[in-house]
Amino acid sequence: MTRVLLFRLAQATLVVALVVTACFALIRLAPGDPFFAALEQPDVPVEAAARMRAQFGYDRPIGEQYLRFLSGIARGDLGWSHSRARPVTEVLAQVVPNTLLLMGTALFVGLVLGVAVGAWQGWRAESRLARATDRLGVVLVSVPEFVLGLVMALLFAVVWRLLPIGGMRTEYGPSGIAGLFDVLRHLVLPAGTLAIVIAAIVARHQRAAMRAVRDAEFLRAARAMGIPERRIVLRYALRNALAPVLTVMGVLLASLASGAVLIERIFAWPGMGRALVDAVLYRDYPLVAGAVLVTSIGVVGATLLADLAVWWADPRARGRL
Amino acid sequence: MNPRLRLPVAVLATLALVAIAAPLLAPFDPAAQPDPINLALQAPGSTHLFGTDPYSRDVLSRVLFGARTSLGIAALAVTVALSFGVLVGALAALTGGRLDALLMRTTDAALAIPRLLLLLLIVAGTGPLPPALLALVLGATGWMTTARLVRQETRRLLATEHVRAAEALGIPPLRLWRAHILPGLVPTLTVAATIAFAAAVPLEAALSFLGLGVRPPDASWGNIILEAEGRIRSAWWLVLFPTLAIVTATLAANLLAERLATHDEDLRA
Repeated sequence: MTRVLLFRLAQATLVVALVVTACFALIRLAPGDPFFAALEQPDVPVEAAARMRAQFGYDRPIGEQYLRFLSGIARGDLGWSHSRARPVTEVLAQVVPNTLLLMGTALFVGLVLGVAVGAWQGWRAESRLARATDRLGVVLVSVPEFVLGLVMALLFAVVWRLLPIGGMRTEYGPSGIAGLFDVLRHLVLPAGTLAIVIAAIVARHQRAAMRAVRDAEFLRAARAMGIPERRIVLRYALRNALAPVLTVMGVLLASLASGAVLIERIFAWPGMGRALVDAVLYRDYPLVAGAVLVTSIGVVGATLLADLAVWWADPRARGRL
Repeated sequence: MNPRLRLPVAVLATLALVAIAAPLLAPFDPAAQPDPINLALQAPGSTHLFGTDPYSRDVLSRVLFGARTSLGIAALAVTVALSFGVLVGALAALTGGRLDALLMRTTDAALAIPRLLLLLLIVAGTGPLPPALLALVLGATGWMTTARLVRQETRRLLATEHVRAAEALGIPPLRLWRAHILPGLVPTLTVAATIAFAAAVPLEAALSFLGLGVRPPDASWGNIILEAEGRIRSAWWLVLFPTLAIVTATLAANLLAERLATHDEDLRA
């Protein structure tokens, strides 16, 4: 147990170390520092520019800057966001909860939907409907998230006018319980789009796992014992077919994080993805680095938890981890 | 050819032909703005089959030329990803031991970082990239799947009789790899290339859609859609046609990858 745990932890640490170094490389090695546009003007005195850079530590040797960057992260200090004139942590504290709401809802709905549809497809693999939905799944996996998001926006918000096209709250809208309902209405399209993407991936894995388990001996034995079919599917077959889906959690979370960036942009969801894209456009390097770092740590941490859950739930998987 | 492979191969070949023949097929210059005031945002009609964009450019011509940019970038990205993936995968499989472990752990680590975030991080540093460099960056972030596939397949081949015989004859490692393993890797590489292609097309589109990929006036499928921003209601054609192009290319590549993989399994069995 401890060996597996240590190995996984070491791996996660390696990922985070890579991301941290990449983020530092971005801030330091990018052509022109964050002050370039503002300070390299003929009417800005050279000393003033130098003072500004010194104030943010850009005049130190590269090794010292790296150590300062690391110790900053350790203290929860991600630097100063130039485009928003606030500490990066403050910007992130504002947008992260919104992104978690979006991604959490999408992940939950997508997993439930994907497992249910995939399990049914695998169990009834020969039926016409299962085959048709499986083809639909291949198409859905091939539709990029942002394209799906645009189509959903076009249909539900523009053509049928059922749901708001963007944002998280109606401006000057209701508060209290009605306000919560308002947020939920705004959540449907962005979270729904991401949930469909997740469900399509999950269903394909679940279908394969369910098909593999369908003809297993222990199910025939269960049937011979007269256990009702419904119970066989839910308690025996599905339970055995769930672990493979949990093991693709890392892939799911990574694609969810990438998808959220695009979906937040399309639906103007005030989350981390939108902050990240804006920061890239404004060349606000500390904010870019902070957003990428926090997202990566989140994805890696959640994947680690999912792996441990598999290890705990499925003894067969223990040798493979 | 296996009949199940015909459809996706035909679709991809047609797309490639369209990309090559774009100058012959396009009715207008994709960057020409004949009348940005009176001809902007024309709905699809007899002159402009796919309508016009906010600058009065012909959308059909832009989609056709966009095929060049988008598919060209994807193809180049696949080449880069495949070369690097083969290098890492083969090196890991052939050396084994510590280097193998190190390379594979790094591959796993790189795989755990959301690719779009990595791309945003790079683009944030470099600023808007010309198409060739964009392809290079896309390839540099997409080699991991190939590396794993190549390592796995190389290890399988190393254990086969003919490779072991060649090894026993004292053929040097590099030549052994080139003459006796690489040919056996071709099916795996074909699958890896299609998978990489199916991932590269939507990524390029996504980056261009965010305004961080191919810059106007060059047309790419993603940046045509960007012109629809704030106008989805009035200019659906700016979304529909490039979207169809992206989905067609990705779907064909995904189908091909899936069918190739099962095809290889059948051959092996």
